[in-house]
Amino acid sequence: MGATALATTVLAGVLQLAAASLQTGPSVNTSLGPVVGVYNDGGGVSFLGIPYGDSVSGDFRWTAPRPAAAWAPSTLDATQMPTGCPDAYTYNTTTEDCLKLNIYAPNSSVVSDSPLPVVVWIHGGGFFRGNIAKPLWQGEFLVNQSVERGKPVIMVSVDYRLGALGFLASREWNVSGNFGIMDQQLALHWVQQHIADFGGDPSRVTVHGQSAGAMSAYIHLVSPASAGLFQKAHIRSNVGVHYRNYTEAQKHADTLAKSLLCLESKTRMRCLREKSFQQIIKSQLTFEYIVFFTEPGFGINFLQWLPVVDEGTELIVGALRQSPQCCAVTRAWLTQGKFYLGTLC
Amino acid sequence: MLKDGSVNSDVEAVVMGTMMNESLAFAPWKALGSLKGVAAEAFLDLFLAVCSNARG
Repeated sequence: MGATALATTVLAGVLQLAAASLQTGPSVNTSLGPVVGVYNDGGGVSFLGIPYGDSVSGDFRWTAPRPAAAWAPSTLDATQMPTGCPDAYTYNTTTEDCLKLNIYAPNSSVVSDSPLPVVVWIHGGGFFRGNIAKPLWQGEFLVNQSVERGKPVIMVSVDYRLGALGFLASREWNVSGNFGIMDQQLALHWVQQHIADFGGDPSRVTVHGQSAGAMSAYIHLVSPASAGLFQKAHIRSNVGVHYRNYTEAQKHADTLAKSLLCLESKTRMRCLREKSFQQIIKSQLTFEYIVFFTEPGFGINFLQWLPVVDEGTELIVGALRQSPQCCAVTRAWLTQGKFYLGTLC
Repeated sequence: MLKDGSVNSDVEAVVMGTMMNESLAFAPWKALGSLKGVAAEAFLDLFLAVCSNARG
């Protein structure tokens, strides 16, 4: 047997093993195609790395996310943790094809006729780091506990664009910003369209965010683009909502472009899009936090890359906007449709 | 995308917590045995109650 034939035989064997492995996992049919996941030790099931958006590399960098294409008739192998979107610590091991989500469910929900409430987890990390593969943020524990306590839920965790790749904003360059938030909204749309296939109830969705994920949850509470995508919000470990207007965001955009030597106004965006994502992350790391509370006019510099709002908009009423060092939000209340925060300053 | 501070009208409930170590309640018990306490139990019960309540 020649080397090529031997390699072909070995490859065929590997593929058969992979296929056999897929056949042993829990499977779900969706309108996008069949999905095969894994059984968890605690009795639940996981479907890992399901694409909810297409790749955001190249010309699609710094654009609104596009729904992922269907994979049918192929079966989606949802047995491996996704790598996450490029961040300050993983930019050598990730890709910009990163708009993925994980689904954790009680095993019975896959075959149950009674749809379960859904928790959509938005991770923290200051809008510049983090991913849903982190052990602390995996969902088996929550799902198992929910079953033990007689209130079973399905948990969906979402990777979204981070740092400059997710939050670069410039009116001057026709870059809207908020791409990481748009990613989350696309994931929430995906949940509305497909979670019933996994045993979830799209009319009982709780957005659950921690830290930057909590800030994201605040934004979804008030963003018209998030209306109708969830019914409840659980906001944890938040430090208010940090955001910038476009004037403030431009200074950060200029700093990034300068550091990457993309200086010509006519070719600036092409230049930035031609840079590898590794170059962009490495570049943002060179000045991350350097401007921390030091440069007037940069806006709140507690975090480098933030959601952006129109000039004159106060997203949330509170002292935080004027006192960035004040981090403890103590209470919130709803009054006549307005959302207010109190702070411990 | 973000125009004002009005909460979307279809939102039924908002729960907030401010303790950083709430994050730990999502880790496996075996790694964080010290969190088998009242706070972690209460947190999970509250959280699941809010998620599970029917509309209305």
